[in-house]
Amino acid sequence: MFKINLLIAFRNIWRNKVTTAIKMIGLIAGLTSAVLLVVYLMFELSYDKHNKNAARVYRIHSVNGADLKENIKLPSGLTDMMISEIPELENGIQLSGYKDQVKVNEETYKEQILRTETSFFDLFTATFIKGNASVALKEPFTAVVSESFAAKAFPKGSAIGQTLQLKWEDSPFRIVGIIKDLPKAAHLHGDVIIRSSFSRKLNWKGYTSVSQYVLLKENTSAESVGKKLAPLYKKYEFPKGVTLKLMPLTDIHLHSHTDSELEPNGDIRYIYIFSAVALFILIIAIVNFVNLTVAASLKRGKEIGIKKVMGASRKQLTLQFLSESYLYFIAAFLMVMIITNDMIPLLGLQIGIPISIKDILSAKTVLISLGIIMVSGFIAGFYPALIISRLMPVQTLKGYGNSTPGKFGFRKILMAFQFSSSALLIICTLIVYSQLKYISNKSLGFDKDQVLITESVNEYGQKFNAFRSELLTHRAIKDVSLSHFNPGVNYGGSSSWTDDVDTAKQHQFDFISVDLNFINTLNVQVVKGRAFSAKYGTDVFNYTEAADKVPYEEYKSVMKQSPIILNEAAVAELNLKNPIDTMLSYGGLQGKVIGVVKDFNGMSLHNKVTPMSLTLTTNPDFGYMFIKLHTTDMSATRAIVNEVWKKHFPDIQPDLKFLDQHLEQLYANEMRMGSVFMYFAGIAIFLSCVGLFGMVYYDLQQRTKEIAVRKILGASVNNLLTLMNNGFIKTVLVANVIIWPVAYLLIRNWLDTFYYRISLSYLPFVLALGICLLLTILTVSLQALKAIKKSPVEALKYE
Amino acid sequence: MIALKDIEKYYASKGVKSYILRHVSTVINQGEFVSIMGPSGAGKSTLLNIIGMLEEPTYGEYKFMDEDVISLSERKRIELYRNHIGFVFQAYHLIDEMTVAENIEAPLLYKKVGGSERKSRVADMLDRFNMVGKKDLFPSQLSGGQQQLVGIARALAAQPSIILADEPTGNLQSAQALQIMELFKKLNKEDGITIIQVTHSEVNAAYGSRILHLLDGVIKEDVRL
Repeated sequence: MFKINLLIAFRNIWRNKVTTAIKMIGLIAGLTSAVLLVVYLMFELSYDKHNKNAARVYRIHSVNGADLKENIKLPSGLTDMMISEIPELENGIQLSGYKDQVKVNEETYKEQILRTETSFFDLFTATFIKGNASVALKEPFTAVVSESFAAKAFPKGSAIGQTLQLKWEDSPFRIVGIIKDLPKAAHLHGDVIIRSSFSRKLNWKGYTSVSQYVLLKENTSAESVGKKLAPLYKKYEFPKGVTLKLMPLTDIHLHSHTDSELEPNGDIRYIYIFSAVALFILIIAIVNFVNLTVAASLKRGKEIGIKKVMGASRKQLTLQFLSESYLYFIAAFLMVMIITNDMIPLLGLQIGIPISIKDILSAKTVLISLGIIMVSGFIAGFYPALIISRLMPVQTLKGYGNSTPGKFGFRKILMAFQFSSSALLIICTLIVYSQLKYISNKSLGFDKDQVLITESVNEYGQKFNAFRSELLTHRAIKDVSLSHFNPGVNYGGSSSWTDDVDTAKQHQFDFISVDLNFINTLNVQVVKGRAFSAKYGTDVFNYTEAADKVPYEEYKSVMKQSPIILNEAAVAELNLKNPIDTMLSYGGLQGKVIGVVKDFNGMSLHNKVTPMSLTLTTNPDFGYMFIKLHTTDMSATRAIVNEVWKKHFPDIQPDLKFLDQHLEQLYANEMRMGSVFMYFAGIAIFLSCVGLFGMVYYDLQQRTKEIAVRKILGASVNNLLTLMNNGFIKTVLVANVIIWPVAYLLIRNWLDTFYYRISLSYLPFVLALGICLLLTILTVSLQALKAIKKSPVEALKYE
Repeated sequence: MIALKDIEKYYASKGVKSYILRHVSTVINQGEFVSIMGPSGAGKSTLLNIIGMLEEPTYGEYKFMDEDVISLSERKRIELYRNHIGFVFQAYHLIDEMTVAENIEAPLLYKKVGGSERKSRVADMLDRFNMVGKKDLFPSQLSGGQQQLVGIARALAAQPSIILADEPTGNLQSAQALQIMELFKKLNKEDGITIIQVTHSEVNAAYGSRILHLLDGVIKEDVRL
């Protein structure tokens, strides 16, 4: 029985090549997309789970009472204090991560450094190739390096026992262990992990800030630790309103959004969105399969009727159809696995994380993929099987086409669902892209094009001026500036103070410490007063040095003389009528206003421009360098910059980047979402059209006679095309309009995360409708035309 | 074997009942060869469908081998199909995706006949109908008469006690039709299989032992030959 059914299935597949192809293409595309998305989601959800103690490791976050902003850069000594006060804590470490130059045997490498403490490997699991976790980092000035770094820096011979020198550390470090590179799904990575000493005494008045992690004892809960925190705030003189919370290690990647994450994090919202997209695509693919199978069963009614009168039970028939659909699904599964294998590196490129099949290949992923396919195979096969086997033999023997208008209605609902989903994805894609375009085109108030910046803060010393002068001799270089402004990350400093009158109000200010050339280099517009200039003795006077010499009480009175420039937001915040020459003395904001600049936005456009003041450092020796170019030959100019750089700073690697590209990184999540939407909108609309193609295909087979008769009666080609299109167009129209409110709400929600955003217009909605309609008409008409052009005699002969 | 009592079949549309069958009562015994005749729309096919349990009467009593068919469960009905009833259709209704041999074998699969038994019965049928050479052909590769022979072979393979045939020769030339009728007569006489056929042809009806004349859903005449 099974054999003959299998045989029938194969013969059916062979005879109906067109529909088989449609079914398979739809299935493979849909399942591949769903599997890829699931693979990606599982990757995102697997972050830090490889750590043996993952469930017991927490990162300490401080929460600011006023704005609930979380911070992970906390005063050193905090963990020690907590361990001594809270018995549930077993261990803890302090840690900071940064890129630094590593010198080994006269070669320098730029590597990710983790500066941490001796118990690092008790909290974070690593696989030791040489050395072992229990002794590594137990002695001072020891380091553990990654396998890839060891291979790079010590191509011959073992790295163990060798030393390396870091730029920012005085003593060399002895390598005591080599570990396998930390998995990609980890929120921290380090090629060189060094043991360092941190101040162990908690002092909120003056501190170095580091990330801190604690390990809970077994069978204790974070809540019980949380309860014991409150009394400590007073005892250890925490700043007003600051509280602590414990962030589970495995939540960091998706739930933590502080300003100083070690690496760019994901976002749980995108996990939800992508899961929904995966589900939609999967449903669309299944719907396609169901629709096509039910449609195909019109042709097989006879077979079913005969089998019934020969004594086939419903169960047997259901099983037959179910196994037929599994045949498709298993074939599709094999294809999906092959395609997925090839697609995963591409996916990695798309999401910006170079994952390959071996990073995600596990029994679990294969089982989940198989599960998806088997469950969807069951749903896709069971429904048609049920419908088909339920029909009375007489209906099927007569050819039940005319007896199932209701079924066709249901299939139209399924089709409407497909087009609704497609329209939703198209609308989202269009709006996400116009917002991204808006962001990249929006004038930020400073030049971001043709500006090179250094990726990390460097110490240039007094050589900077000579470097700058030499660069400026080249015509392609307009200006060079050094400041503490790290675009998109922070302005360098901030201060807040309580309003004198309204004590509930807090003023929040950002500061940029700039040199004389900053305003010119970035082309910031001065709207009132003047920019900093070497022409003014009052500008170049070193106030900080002078203030350091006078007694502390007079410090402020000296600093009040220092020139500052405000932005417009700051003028509004302080409500200054005539800002120029006003002396300001609020918290960290001390100085005499010499100019006002137009608001410029150096941070993410998610947020509003903050009130800001520019303070002057006349002889800067470290910070981020900005080089404004004026050239058409970018590579030649870069070569010049590199050459001059090497001459002046032979010890510093030039890690120059274009400012516009650097700022784009701020929207990595959004861009990723945009491209995911675009791909899957494409797949959704493609699948919908494939499904539609199948429906039209069967519709035409059923209506060959009708078309022939109408033609004989004098219907024109246009009449017939309209007739064939009509029903489908209505369905697509309704499907689109229904989804509009949903799309509006969703996209509105997303746009609201931006302070600077496009206003929603009806255009994307109408455009999505247009795309859907156009593709519908094309899909229907191209097929219908062939049928209509046939001689009516041919069609009628068969009857 | 078959007892129909007051069988009615009508379709109600917009409150108007249009009757297909009215007050049909008859008894057909084991071993009879009955032809149902009558003009188009008289309800011949509907009556045969009801006898074959392909359709349900709107009203009335129907006993098949002393079992009340109206209240029969799906499972029981399938049992009857498997063991007692063979169908032959005007349009042959072979399964296009199956070869001749597979078509003949199909009912045996549902009857759960063992593999070797199936093989021998199929071989037997092919032999009997002179179609050994055509056993691997698909229905579309056969002429109408040959297809109908396969249809009958298929019906016989399950060794039914009754064959229900809806205009079995309607699509055939007279020479082929004659061959089919001879076959029916032989099956009836030699194997004692009850046969009920719907036909337009007086010639075909003459092969049987009894004719039911149907007119507007009512049995007008019941002639025994």
